[in-house]
Amino acid sequence: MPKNNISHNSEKLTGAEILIKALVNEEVDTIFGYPGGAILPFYDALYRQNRIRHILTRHEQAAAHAAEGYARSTGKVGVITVTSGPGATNAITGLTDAYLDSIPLICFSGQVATSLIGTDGFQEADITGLTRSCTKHNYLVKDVADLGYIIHEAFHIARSGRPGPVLIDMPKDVQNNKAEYNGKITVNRKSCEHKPYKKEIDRSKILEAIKIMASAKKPILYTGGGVVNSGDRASRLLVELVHLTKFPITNTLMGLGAFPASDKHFIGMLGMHGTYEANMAMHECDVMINIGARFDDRVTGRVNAFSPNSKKIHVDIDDASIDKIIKVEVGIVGDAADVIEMMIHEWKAHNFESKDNIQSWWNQINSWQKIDSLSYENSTKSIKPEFALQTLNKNTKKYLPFVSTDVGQHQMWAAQYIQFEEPKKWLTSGGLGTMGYGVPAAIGAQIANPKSLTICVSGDASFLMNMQELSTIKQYNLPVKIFIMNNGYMGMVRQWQELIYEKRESQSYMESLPDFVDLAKSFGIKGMRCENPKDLDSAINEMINYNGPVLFDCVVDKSENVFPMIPAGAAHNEILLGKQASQYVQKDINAV
Amino acid sequence: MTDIIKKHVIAILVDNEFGALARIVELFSARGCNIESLNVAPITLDKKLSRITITSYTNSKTIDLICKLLTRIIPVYRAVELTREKGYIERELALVKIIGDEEKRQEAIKIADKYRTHIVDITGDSVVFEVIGTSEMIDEVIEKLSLLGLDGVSRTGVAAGFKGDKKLNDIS
Repeated sequence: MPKNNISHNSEKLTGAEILIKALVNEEVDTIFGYPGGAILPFYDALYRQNRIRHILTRHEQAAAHAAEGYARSTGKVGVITVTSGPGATNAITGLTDAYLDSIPLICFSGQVATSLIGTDGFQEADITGLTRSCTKHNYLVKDVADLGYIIHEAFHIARSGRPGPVLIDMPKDVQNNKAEYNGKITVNRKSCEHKPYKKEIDRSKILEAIKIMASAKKPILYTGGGVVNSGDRASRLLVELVHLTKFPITNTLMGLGAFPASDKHFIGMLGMHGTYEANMAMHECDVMINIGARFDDRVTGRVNAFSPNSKKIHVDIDDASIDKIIKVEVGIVGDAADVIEMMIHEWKAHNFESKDNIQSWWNQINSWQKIDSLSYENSTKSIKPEFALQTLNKNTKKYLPFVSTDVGQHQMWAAQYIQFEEPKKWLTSGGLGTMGYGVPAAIGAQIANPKSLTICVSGDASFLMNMQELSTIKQYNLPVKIFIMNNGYMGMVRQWQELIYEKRESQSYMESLPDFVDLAKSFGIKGMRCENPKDLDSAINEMINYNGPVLFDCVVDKSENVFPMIPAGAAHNEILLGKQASQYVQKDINAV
Repeated sequence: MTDIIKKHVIAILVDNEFGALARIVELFSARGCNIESLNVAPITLDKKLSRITITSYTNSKTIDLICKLLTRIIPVYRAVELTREKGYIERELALVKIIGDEEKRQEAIKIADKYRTHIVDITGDSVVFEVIGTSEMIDEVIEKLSLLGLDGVSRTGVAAGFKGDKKLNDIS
């Protein structure tokens, strides 16, 4: 590790104090965590300062998800501090979640003293070994003199290129020992300069892409989380590109909000539970421009039947994503905003105009839209989950709320029915699909955006996975609105069992659910319940207008399924609408 | 065809630090890819940069992806598959021990003479040969010596590079 010009006069600090100073230098003002034996020196230094606010979650997994929500909603790096052993292993799910969804996160874990490492010390776990495959990079700090540099390098790694989590394991003696700290240092690791995304964007490839785009008769833009990660500039430029080309655009689950849902060029989310028009357009297009998405299996369906007649352009900051699943004609490695800007520049320079030759393509798309694939049979007796989220969207969209979700049916309905006009408002566990993500992620977003309406759309099963966080919500009086779509089931598991396993509901019924209103009350939080569709409007408004946290038990139809649905292992044009559910044909028993 | 399983040799330039090798190896194991041979040693005088050479039997598609993923690892500078390139050369060294009577030892020495071998040690009934060549050639030598009291083999794994002035950095 490079040593810096050590001035002998400079004051020596403990490792714990260096950590505090380095965090301040990285402009960190909020961290999430949970104390314990091996991280106590840091917590003591934390007690003796006033620059950094610590949010005490009730479980380390929740600390990690809260930091993800914080990072996703602000574009900053999320920071967590946990103790050794179980503290660190509890955080692993959150780190893996951040790894798959490319969220910049730094986890500081306590560790037994260096002399005890490898001896099965109390609360010892080989956390650098355990997290190697779910972090971009990790460190075991053996010498306090290295700590300052390591912290600044870790921040650089977490936010550069394709963002992701980094873990720094700090033995207790390293936190107690003293060294000089020389402030924020420019990262000078040579290998970082060799990463593919560091190269200049290849202009010849941009030209190649633009030419293909200009010749398209049936083009589609398919954009993902990379546009959100790139920042607000990427979203602005994406809108410009779409208005310039008049191309239809679809977003992945992770990309929602990067393009305004109300724009007429937006044809909805694509993928397993995407709209009919988005999936049909992907299948029938002649040119596909993927910006910041990674051809996830939830998007492609059966790979060998994926968009069979199109030329494909793939823009990604991670060169390993290009040609990984789908072979493309033009692969461009670069940041979404930079690439889109160059595309716009070249498009204008070549005087390409949005030609009439895509009008018949739009006519085709409009005819698919008329099928109205998100329609459903409403009821006056029970609350249909689709109706619940439509009602929630109708009453909240003027506030441009942050919306987090857990994982399952409610997540898909939220993605389908809640309209996002801005990036960074939609917080969901897309890659890992982590039940229990929603409540802590909403906590993180609310901490970062105290004045904004923050809603967690959850399910009865998902909510139970991190419900201890009601205590965190109460402690910091966070006005988070938790909207539980309570159908008494692990809904998505039940849906697959109904469609694929002849309705054998193996272990998917949520028996012995708590009374959520009483549960909220026991935490000192307002609880509400709504069971009748005609009361929903006013109940949702009561929730929004309540000055404080609310746990809302929205009792919905037990047997509703999420449609449209592309069966796992099927092609986009084999998409099923709600009324075709009986035609469900299993395509591949091993597809997940 | 991308599905044909064949031998691939990959060279990786990496910072000489703990954890780097573990990350590299885990990329293979996480994809169910066995590492047939591996060697690692610093290649600069200041010992800061190491070169790792890995041999694995798998399909080209997996190797392509692994090479890209290897480059993502922070301490890695470059990861290149060498076997597909023109001018590929490889060598491996093996220490092969024979224990046998006079007749078998003489027979072994006769066979070994046909290959590029040195005798490193003769103690009592044992002979230790140093064999240098391609992996396939070493396989051949070992096979021939197997009936002559073969007692132990230690192989270094493949070291590989290119003929002429071709460098790792020339490969895109």
